[in-house]
Amino acid sequence: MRLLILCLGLTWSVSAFSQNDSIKWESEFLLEFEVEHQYFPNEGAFPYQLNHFTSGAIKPKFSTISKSKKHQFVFEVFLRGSLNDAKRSHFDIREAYYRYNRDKWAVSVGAKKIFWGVTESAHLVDVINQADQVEAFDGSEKLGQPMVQFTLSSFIGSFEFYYLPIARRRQFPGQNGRYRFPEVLQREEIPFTTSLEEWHPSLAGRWYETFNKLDLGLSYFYGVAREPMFLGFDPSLGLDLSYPIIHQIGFDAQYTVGALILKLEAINRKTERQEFFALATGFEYTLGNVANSGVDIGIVSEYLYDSRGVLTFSGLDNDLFIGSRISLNDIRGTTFLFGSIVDLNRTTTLFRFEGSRRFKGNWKADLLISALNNVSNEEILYNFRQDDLLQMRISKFL
Amino acid sequence: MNARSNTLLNNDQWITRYGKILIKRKWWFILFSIAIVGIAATGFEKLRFNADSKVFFSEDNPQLVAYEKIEQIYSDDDNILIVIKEKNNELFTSKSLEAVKQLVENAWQTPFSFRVDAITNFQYTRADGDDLLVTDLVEETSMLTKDELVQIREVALKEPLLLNRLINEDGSVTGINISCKLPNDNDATPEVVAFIRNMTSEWIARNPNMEVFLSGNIMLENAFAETAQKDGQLLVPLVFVIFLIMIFISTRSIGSTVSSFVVIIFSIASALGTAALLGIDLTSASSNAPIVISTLAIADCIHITISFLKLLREGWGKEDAIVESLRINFIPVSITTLTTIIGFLSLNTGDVPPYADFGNISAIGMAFAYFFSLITLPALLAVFPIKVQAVSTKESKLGFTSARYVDFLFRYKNPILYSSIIMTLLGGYFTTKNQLNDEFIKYFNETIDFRKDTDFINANLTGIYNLEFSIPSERDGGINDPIYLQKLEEFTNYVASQPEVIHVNSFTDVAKRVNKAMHDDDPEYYRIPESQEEAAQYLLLYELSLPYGLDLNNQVNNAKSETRFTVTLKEIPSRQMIDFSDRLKGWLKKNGTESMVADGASLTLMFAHIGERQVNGLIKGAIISALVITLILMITFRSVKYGALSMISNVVPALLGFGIWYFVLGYVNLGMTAVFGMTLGIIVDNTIHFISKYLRARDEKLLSGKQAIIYAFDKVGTAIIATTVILCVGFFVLTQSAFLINSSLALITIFILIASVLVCLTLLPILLIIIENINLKKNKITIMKTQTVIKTLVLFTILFGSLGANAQNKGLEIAQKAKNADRGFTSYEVETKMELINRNGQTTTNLLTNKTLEVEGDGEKSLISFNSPKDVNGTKTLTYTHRTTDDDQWIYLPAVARVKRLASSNKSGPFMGSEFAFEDLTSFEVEKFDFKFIKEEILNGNKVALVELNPKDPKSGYSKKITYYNLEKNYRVEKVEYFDRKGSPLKTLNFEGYRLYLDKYWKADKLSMVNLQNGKKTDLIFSNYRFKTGLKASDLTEESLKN
Repeated sequence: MRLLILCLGLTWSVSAFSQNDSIKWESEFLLEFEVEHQYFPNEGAFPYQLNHFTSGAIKPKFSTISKSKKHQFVFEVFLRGSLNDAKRSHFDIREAYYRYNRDKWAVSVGAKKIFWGVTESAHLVDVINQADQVEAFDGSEKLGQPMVQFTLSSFIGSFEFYYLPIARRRQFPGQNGRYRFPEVLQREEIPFTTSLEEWHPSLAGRWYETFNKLDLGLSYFYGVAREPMFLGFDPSLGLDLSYPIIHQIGFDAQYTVGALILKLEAINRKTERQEFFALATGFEYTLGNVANSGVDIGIVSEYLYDSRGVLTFSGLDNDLFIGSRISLNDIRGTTFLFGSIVDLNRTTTLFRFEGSRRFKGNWKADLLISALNNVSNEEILYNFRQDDLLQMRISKFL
Repeated sequence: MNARSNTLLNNDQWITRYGKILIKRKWWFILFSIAIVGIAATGFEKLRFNADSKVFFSEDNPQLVAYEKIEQIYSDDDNILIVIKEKNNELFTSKSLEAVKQLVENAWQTPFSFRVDAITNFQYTRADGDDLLVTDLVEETSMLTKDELVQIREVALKEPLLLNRLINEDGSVTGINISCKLPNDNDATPEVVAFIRNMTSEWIARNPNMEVFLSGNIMLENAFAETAQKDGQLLVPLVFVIFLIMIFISTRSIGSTVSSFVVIIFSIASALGTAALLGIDLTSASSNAPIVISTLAIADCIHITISFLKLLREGWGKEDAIVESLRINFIPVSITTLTTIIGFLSLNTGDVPPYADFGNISAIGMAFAYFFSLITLPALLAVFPIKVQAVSTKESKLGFTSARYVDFLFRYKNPILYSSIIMTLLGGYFTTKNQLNDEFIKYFNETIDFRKDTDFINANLTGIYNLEFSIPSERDGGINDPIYLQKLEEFTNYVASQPEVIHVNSFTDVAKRVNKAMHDDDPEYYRIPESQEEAAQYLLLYELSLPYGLDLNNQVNNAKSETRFTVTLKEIPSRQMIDFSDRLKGWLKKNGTESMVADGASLTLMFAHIGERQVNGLIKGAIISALVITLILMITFRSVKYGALSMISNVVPALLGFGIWYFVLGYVNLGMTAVFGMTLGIIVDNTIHFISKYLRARDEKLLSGKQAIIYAFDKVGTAIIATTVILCVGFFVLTQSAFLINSSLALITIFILIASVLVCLTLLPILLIIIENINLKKNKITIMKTQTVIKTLVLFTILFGSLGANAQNKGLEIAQKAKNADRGFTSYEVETKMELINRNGQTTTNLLTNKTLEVEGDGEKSLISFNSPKDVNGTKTLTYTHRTTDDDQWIYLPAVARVKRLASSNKSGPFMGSEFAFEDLTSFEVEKFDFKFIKEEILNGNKVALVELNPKDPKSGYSKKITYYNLEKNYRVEKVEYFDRKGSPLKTLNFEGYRLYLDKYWKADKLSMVNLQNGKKTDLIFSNYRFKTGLKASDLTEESLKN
């Protein structure tokens, strides 16, 4: 609710600014509609889980920037309505911020999406936004995060500082939904370890710089964890989940040698009850214009380590990711992405295929196939063992 | 606290297990080490020494690029200057002149030479009736009369082309300049030098009253190689002998000495072998890496062997002692190796490849030293019989005094602390007072012949430092324009009046001399010809009278549009050299015609700039490595507090060292710029050893602060002092290098090492105790005081951080002119409509916005935003093109708000499914192609030149491109024909709707690309070109992509 008030406030200030004739604005409005059908071929692991899900989404985005480039407003919302899972029907303000931009520095106030890091299969250092779990179970979609952001570029690199007044909770699928745990987790059920609850402020900072072909980043985050801390499973009490206060130091590095990019991300996260170290490292190699066909083939392989072992919430504790991205570089922007994550300690393997292609100018079709095989019962992912997925999306851009 | 002990314990168990296996299978481990060395040693045959003085400059160094451009235009490469002195000052006698003439004739036999200039073959130009007579100044020597000799002397001393260049003012010293074109091969230089030395010594044997001095680029390169060789033959064996003795003294055991020595030899051999396998050439800067490696490898060995021997003395069994010694030292040695490697790798951020190589070789060496001291060393120790006298009481050299020393420290805590702060501030202040200076002659000390000869030449004949300009005129043949010549003459006079200048070689001297000769040698006519026709005619006549090898190609370009302008300078420091170059360019800008503005270039100028470029890069590197090392320490100590604390004791010694340096020499050269990063990684070792022992005492032995400090002194005090002494001795040997950049690097390193040990033994323990007090919250006033102190120190560290802080030629000429015509726009923004038309005529449209910013001395930065198709709206790409290196590219994906780096390999692939490849859309850089002029023809009523461009990049999708340059419209491109890798025609690009912007830049409204092989077509339609929009570098950064 407070978010909504904030956004209304921002919209009002936009109109206030536009009345001032001395400031000229360049605006843009984009709208995207999407229809989606998900099919899970296997029977659910838990009662009431369905096999077919149909839903639609709408994503309007408005942005405006003053001619001087000093003032900028961005407003983007997301709404999904699902016919089959009430929890998946949701609304979120992805972005709603005002940004004041100067030569060497900028300040943003409002809700934003922030991305940190370099690797493909896991985003360890990326800690600012909460994952939109109902939208994508792998955490690739994010909820907007209210913040005050200050960015500064200097001769020793770029610095970003964040004040994050509120922590957002993660939403989990409902009773009918897939990718859920035996009990249906209510958003409010996972406790905070701080008495201020979501209003415990968080602070974060990041430094990054490019040295020719080497990119380095160092980040620090203090505040409420975005990812719930998982400390075990008790048959009587259920999952032991909570949002603790964390201190996280993150390091990311990337080195480009011709067609090869070497990548590394590492974090150390400390809470009162747990301290762990996680690492993702690997390479991306691009074969450009294979056999003069115009096709680019990218090969990605990454090793993922997490010292939490079976308590790793994402299940990626000692895993190897191998994947490929194929882009045809054609008029339709056809790309394929597929890959597999193999658990090196246990039997679990995860397979994923994504394909997308534009048609009739402003239409786009997306296909996703995701499969989990031989899931080890030690892992949290065991709950999703039946959740192989075939997903089709058609989007229209206006 | 618990977590820390647990992990330490876990590691301990692991390393203990490893130690036991190692002892059981010691022979296997030894064999394995030998195998590793053997594999690395296969690289030895590839090991090469590169003496080219240009190796000091990275390929995209702007001063190098400018210098090479001049070299290319005037087909000028390397030279040897032979300077001759007649002992009795009788140079102008038949005998002496005959001797010089002989030497000149012999000099033509020099391998790879193409031109010899001397007073004897100087092209003496005079009138002969209406004709021009050009002959050698000294022809037949046998028949010369006294009068003729006097006349020759007069001519030579009056001739501006000779005076102070090939003859001095009193006519006692003369020079012979041999120009060579050396092939790209390492054996050429020694071959030429051997020939010259042989030739001159034979000549001296025949002419005993002559003395010879040798200098020039080729001698400089040779000096780089010979000095490195001399250092290698003298210093490396010296280091080994000294180290053997030192290890023996500190361990008193032959077995340990031999074992440590094996580790050192293995490390060096593997490092050099691996470096060679990686294709790294040795240079004078990196040839001393073996000394540095051995010095640091010893430190690893000493820590392990000293603890081992100490345990033996305490009565441990030999095998247990080895395992225990590994257990105690594993973490500190691992961390110190890591930090040292980071320190060395930080040298890669500089702009001087040999120092990056030096850093990399040393880093590789450190990695091997680490590996061998954990694998080979303990195995060898297990093999050798080692006996020590068991001592019942705890005794170490420092043992009996540590307690007393710590008492002393505690008593004088505050005075020590405050005096340290004052010293650091002073050190920091004087550090910034050091001047950057790189004069390549002074790189060699006076024991080197090159330096001695060059000093003589500088004092008696001419200067070795120079600055070159290639001064363009308005058009082809424009150098005969009287306005151009007049301006050039003014410039020549201006430059000659500058205090630094010894000699100016300008084309006006030729023009004036010929004019005079054409007017019956009337001295009145020693001036610029009056009309263009006259000047052109005279020049042609003059050129026709010149013999082979002495033509004007080294002064005038083929198109007769540019002339060379060479200034010979006194020995001046770098700063003054840069000012001088800027002053000259400033004059041209203010007083010359618009076309005449040119940048100065020369080896001297390149070295003058190098220090600054190197420092700018290295400051970043040093700050990053300091941050990374601090982070590592924080992780090691599992404490932000101790990590930050150790940083203080790492930065302070460097400030003290450079502060003292101000009083030693006061200026800093190339080599020394590498010191900060290098020593940072080394001195941090002391801190790590000390703090880790301190923490071990607190966590395992549960000692109080003071007791823990005494324990730490007991355990590592000896080792810290011993390793520092060894390191100082190692670097002391390096100070004896005849190569100044190496010797000064070594000397300052010694200062810093000593400062580091002092800091470690005084300031560090005090700071540890202060932190302790804060924790215990005993005394609030002390806390406040100490907090202020720590804040000041941290603030100062940050403050310091921020402070420091022919067909071919013609083709090239045309392309260069086209590029020049296109340069200087600073920035532009344009809307682009991309229409993709397939064979059936169906059209797809994409909309893009392009913002481009020119980068001085390099390529361009451009940001493309995609507006349509709508599904990619908001996607942006940022590309930095570079003249010589791979481009950098990033993409912004709005859906995930992510900036992602792209590998720059994809050049030939299509851009968004269009007929344009990525390489067609990035900025055109002359350095990326070879050129061939084909012909001139008429296209749409305009004269165009067809030039064939062959991409140097093997990843390009083309075998060649034929570009049509419009000669009447400022070299704008009218058409390009593309040929695929097989050589068949692939695409044709036509430029339509050209418009002139800012009265200077031709930009087409439409680019139309037709693929001849598949019939598809793509049009790029530009609208709303805006130039100089105030775009700044900060608008084209990774950060700016996000908005």
